[in-house]
Amino acid sequence: MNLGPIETGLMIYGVLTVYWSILGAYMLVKTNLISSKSAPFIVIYSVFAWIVGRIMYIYFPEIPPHPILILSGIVIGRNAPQIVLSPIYVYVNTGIINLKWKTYLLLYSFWVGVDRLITYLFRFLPVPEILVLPPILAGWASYPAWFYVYVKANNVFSLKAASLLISYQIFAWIIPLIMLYYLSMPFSLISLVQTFLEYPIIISTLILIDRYRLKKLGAS
Amino acid sequence: MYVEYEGLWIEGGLWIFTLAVMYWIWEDSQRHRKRAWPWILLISFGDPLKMYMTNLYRYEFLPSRGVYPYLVPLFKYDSSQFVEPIWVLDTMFFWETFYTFISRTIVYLVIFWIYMDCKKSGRRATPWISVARFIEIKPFPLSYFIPLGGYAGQIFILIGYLLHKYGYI
Repeated sequence: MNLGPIETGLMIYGVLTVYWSILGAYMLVKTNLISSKSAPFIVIYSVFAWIVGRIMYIYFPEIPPHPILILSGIVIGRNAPQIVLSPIYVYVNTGIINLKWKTYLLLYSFWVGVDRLITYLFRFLPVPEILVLPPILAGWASYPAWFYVYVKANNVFSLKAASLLISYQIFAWIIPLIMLYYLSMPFSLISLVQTFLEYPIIISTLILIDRYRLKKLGAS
Repeated sequence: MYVEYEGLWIEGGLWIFTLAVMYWIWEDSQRHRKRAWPWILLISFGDPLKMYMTNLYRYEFLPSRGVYPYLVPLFKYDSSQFVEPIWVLDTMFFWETFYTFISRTIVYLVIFWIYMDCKKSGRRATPWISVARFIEIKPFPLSYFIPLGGYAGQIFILIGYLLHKYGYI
């Protein structure tokens, strides 16, 4: 059997992926985050997501995104379960928050659906618009899920705090648009500014969650 | 041969360790009823400058030289443009892959062991886990100022933890 560099490399990285998935799942089971019955599913999902990512890379260009590539974003995109659902699962598992999974997953699916649809509708935009616009245009769709978790089901954010945060987020969306259309700045600079603009949201969210859980525990 | 397909070589499954570290910090902080946000924040900043340079390279520098990696599937570098012979680059690539495999295994096992030991002994694990993870993923340019890369940093953390555990520091 004559294997070329692509086949050999994929075999090596496939083995590494299986190894990390099994080792990671083992640690999650030993530390009681998941049951031993769920571990195989975590491993299978992890390997599956990797396979999807590699197939997409081999057969489709990043831009313009093919509809199949857009659909694959459900497991490998910016709002994939391993990125979005992981922290929520940790908060629920550690007793920090409570929620009804069915309701949350419906709202999460709504966000993913809107995000994929907007990426599809704007798939023929040139660079850098296609890299900047779709996440911003779909950003509003994440708020129903966010609102349910942090305001409705748990009083992590008061309505006033939630309004301030959402207002800041809108400001954080407008700045990249100004950089894109009025200042004609390159994508590298826009994404750097976007990253720094996200930090106040990350910091304030973490502080408020922490304060909320310590209050619940009755700790100082 | 292999380095020409640089973008293809990605390992999966690492998200599980991000999930695990997050869980260990929150769970430990719940048990000890202590603050968690500074320790979570330490490992949540990412690597914005590295991301900036990656984007600059991919979406501006390469296109300025007529190379558009994002417009083609399975992008391949033109090896005739390489300074070094390709066998040298491939050897370095495989060495890097092997070293990362050993290094990461040690990193995660050390963090895991510290967490389990703290849970057994009733100690607070969060600062150790957070710092160990930060050393693993430290952002540019801190990576040049904190000379504790790879598994060496984790051995340092482990020794520090053991010295602290047995009362030497």
